[in-house]
Amino acid sequence: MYRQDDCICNEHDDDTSEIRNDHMHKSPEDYMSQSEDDDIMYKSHEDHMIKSKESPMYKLHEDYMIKSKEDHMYKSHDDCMSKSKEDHMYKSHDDCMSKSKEDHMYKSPEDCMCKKHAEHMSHSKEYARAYILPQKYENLFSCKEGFFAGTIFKDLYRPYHDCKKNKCER
Amino acid sequence: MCPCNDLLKNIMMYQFCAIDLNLFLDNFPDDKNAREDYNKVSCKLTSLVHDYEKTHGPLTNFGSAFIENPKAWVDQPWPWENYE
Repeated sequence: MYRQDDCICNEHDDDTSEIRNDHMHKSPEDYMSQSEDDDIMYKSHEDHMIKSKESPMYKLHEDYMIKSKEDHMYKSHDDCMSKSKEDHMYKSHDDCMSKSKEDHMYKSPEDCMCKKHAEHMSHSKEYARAYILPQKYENLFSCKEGFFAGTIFKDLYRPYHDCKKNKCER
Repeated sequence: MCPCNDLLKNIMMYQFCAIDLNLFLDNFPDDKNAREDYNKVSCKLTSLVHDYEKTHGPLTNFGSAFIENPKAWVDQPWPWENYE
């Protein structure tokens, strides 16, 4: 099952472990200065995973991973990582992160909750739905009858009737 | 009843019929029967208006009515003054 993908995943783990070890000996300030110097925030997924481990963006990454699990029918993390490496790690992840930045970084949690609530409401309920039959050119009054009826279409003739005394008294 | 009243009443009926057909054709401009009826009604209305204005004076102004001269618009009784 895990042929080439598995190897890629192992290499990925090795690289990640090396960077993790490297990360253990550096302070967050080092990474901040390094990222400012390089001016590459999202150079690679591995860099981002380590550099932003202590930042709020790391939580977004975890959220994305949870979402990926839901998308892949609760497959294991390794399965998802290995099989969808090309699809998700370098493409969808960046899309997700950029989208997440737009959605979460510049909005308050209340806004996010409202958005989720609005999405849920839009999928679950409808305000109204109109059902209109096209009017047919038939059942017509004559010109004289239509003049006194208020319409030349018999189907639209809805005269007002005198209300009963009981209703009027109420 | 004055014959002009009958003529004016006929004009009002055909005008209303033309308006209702016009509203229908706004939504269904390709309806062949409605267009034919509208053409018939508008022709009849035009002839009725022409007959009325020829005998009793102009119904409207601003160049859309048949009038002998502009003074007739002012001197003659208004259409609603004839309709009693």
